[in-house]
Amino acid sequence: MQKNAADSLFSEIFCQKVKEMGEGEGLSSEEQERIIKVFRQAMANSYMDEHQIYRKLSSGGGQ
Amino acid sequence: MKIRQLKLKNVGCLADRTVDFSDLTMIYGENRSGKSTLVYAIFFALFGKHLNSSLRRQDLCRIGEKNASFDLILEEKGEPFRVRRFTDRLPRIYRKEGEEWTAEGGNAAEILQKLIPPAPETAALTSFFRESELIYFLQEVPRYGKTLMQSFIGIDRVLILRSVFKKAYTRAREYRKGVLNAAPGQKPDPLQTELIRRQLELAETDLKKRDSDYERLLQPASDQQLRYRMQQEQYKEKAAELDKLQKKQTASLPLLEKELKEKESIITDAQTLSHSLEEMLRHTGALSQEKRRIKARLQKLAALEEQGRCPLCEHVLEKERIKELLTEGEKEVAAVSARQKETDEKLRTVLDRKKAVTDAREDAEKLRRQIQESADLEKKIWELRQQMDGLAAEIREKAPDYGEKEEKTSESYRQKLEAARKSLQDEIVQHKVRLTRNEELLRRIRDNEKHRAEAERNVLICKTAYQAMDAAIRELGGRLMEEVRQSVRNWSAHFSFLHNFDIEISGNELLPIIQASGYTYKLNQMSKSERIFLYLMLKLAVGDALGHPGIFVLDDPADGLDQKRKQTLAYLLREVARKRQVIVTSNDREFADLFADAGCLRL
Repeated sequence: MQKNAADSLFSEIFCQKVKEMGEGEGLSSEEQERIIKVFRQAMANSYMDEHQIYRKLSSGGGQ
Repeated sequence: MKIRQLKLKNVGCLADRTVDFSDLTMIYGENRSGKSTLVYAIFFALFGKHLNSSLRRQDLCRIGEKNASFDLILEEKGEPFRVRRFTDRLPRIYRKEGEEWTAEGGNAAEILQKLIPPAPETAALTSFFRESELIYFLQEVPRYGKTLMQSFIGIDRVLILRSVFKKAYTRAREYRKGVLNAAPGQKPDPLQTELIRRQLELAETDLKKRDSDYERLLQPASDQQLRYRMQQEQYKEKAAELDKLQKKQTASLPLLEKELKEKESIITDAQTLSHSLEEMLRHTGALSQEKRRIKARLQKLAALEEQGRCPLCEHVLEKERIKELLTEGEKEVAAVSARQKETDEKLRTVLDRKKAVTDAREDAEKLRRQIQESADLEKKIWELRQQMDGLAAEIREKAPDYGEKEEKTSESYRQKLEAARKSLQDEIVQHKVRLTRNEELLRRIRDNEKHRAEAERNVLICKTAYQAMDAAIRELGGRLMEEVRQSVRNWSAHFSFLHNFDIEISGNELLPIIQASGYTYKLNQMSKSERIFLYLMLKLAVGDALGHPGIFVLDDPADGLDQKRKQTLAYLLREVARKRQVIVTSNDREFADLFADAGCLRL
């Protein structure tokens, strides 16, 4: 039995893109990790909306 | 994972049926015998959903029944487990311990997700071959607006995710815009602030001094000071009294005295006047007596004239003589009356003069009282002036010691001091308000700058997340396609009649390119059998690329194939069965016979 390869591949590509773009934009490794963590949460929970994602992504907890 | 047994109850036309499966199982049945129902039942037993997304789970129930049950025995790496699903209840999972099935605790849905990880949509795409799907699977215009490629990668979920990240990015920008809009319009001038601060300090210093003066003012005065203050008060009182007395003093004393003298001169004649009055009264009395005497003689004469004789001697009297006497007597009466009238005139004059004297006496008395009062007033005024002079002399004497101090304890000074203090307090309040306002503005500016920096950072993070996702989605298509192409190459060895089969990527869309006998086909040029084999190969290739549950279920794949193609298909399915468990249904007797050596079941 195989895992959903598309999800794994998508996660892998996304992480890679975050690292590349994060370096380019001057994001810290902590911020890059935060983006990846939020992405994984969003992948696991399809009910997450933009408010939750924004709040989790924003450094100050968001508004 | 392999399916070993499926027990069905009240499922479609299968009221109560148990089906055992091998690695390659052929299920043969006539039309309407329940082949497709069995395929749906396998999918539902594995994933709890209807394979046909347009149908509900209740549609699986036999007509007239409210629920259906699916009892599936699976084998994963040699370990059997059992899944019981119902159309109206939650699933249950069992593990085999010895000969007994023991129910698993915990959330059955989560356990099943781990045991059977592919999403139902992915499994439907990669492991279930349906003729009904074939109709649109290779259409040039994708169904529901999705390309084939998008169907492969489950793009819906990914696109929704990208949309949500984009909205989060929009929200971050909106928040930043809100922060920028909330920035205070003007910055306080630092010089102005410093000026206000200094003004405040000056006002506070001044107020401190005024407060100190005020406190001193409130302190009790010394005895000497009290005496000085009392003398001042006395002086003021006496001055007021003097003023009052001076107002009372209407006429001057010499004038009154002169007037009194005049009145007294009138009174001086009173004695003389009294004597005159007595004399005149006596004279008046005498005249009256004289008049009465004459009148009595005249009466006697009149009687004698009437009788004509003397009453004593009876001598006859001469009438002429009597008449002469009467005339004389009347003349005497007239003379007496004239004299009496003259006397009365004089008496009246004297009486008038006496009344004038009486009035003068009263006036004199009144004047004397006035003179006395005026003299008293003057005396009082003089005394007051004397006292005031004394007090003034003492006040002047003490003024150098207490005057200034007293001036500072005066009511006017206190009022002045209080007014100054209030003004300073107001000024301080105003300065403090302005300072607080400026400080508040500065704090807001600092906060806003901090929030703006945070908002900028959040925008950058959200933008990076969104752009990374967008780029990942774009790259995902290509990467998946590469994997699919590799799988296609692996499987194409089994499809020898399809020369140089390949797929082409165009705008993230997968287009099959088929070359057979040196001729490149397009979809609309393909025969049904070619479409079936292409569909089969793509399913297998995509399954290898995207993941599959280890089984491959085909619902009547041989429909419309000629005998040769049926044999090819049977051969291919045997090849597939080396890698995956294959369950195939058919209503074609000849095709079913090709699997005689494998497990063959008749419905």
